[in-house]
Amino acid sequence: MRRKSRHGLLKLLVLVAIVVALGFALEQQGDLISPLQSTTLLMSLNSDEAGFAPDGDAPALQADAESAAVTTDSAAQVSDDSTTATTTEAMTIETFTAELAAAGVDVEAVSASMSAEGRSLDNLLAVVNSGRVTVAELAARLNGETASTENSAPAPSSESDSLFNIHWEDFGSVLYDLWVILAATVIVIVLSRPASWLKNRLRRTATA
Amino acid sequence: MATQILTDRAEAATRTRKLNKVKINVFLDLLLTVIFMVEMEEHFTGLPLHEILGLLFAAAFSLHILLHWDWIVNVTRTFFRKLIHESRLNYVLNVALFADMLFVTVSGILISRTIGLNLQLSESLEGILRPVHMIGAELVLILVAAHVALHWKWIMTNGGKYLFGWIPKVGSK
Repeated sequence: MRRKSRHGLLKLLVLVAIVVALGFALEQQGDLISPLQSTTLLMSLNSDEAGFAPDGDAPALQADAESAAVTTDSAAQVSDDSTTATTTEAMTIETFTAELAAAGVDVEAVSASMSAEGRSLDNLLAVVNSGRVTVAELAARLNGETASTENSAPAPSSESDSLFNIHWEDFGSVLYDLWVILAATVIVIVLSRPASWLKNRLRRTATA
Repeated sequence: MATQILTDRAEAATRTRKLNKVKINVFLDLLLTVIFMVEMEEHFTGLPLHEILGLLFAAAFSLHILLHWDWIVNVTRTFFRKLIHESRLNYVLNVALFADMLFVTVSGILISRTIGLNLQLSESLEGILRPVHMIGAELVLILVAAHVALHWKWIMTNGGKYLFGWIPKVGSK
């Protein structure tokens, strides 16, 4: 009996070690950001009627990014830079603000409005580093250039047409989902002890 | 004597069938988990694969429900009968998961762009459905995490048995 419980504890410790190690690795890569958090953050940035479209909605957002790029040469440069940044390594706040400014975004105004909501530019940077949105798309969104994403909807590019167009650089997001599942498991295992004690107590009271 | 042999055989056949059902469940659940994690990240797969995986997931999910149909019927019958019910939390969670999964699947089909349905929804409706589809999907992640966590013992026991059973145990003769 004792051996069995020791074996169970060992399994739990292994699970905790995996959760901690995976969490640390995801944190280092900038992937430890809840998709729900990034979705609500992006939605709150733009109250445009067209609504929020994620990074994966390639056709609409690509069109947005392209329209932004046509506006100025510097914006086009930002688009290239941001693509490189998301595919290679996590962007720093300095690079991020510089690229936003280059794309014509009033960084100070954005920062002020975000801090009024209890957020900061770091939150936006985390979303960009997680690969869910590029700087160009974010700049377009902040500049209010996302009007009517649906108008350009049914024109997928040749890249987004191919079925196995997998973005391996975003694999961290898949690992994030695994991490959430494993972390929830650890929490449930830890909480199940007092819960089962309480349940037994209630059962005894009910039968008495 | 002959009757005894026949009964033994019938019992053995039932046992084998049950074991096979568990084995099917293990592999189906593994498939569901992998598809789910990949499917959740649209920017990883791209839209066409995301939509196809969504349909595949819906089919596998339906099969998962069919395989657990007896449990669903039994717990539904006894849900309000006992004051303290072992499976009550599990049941409530599963109902929420089913409802959310159904919503995400239907909204996903409605806003799909690459599977050739072209439902021509109005802009305003699509503008509402898309973010709600995404938030619903994030809620599915939380519910799936809780679902997996509540079945952890089963996963460890049967997953270990059927997925890693071929590995010889250290110290076994």
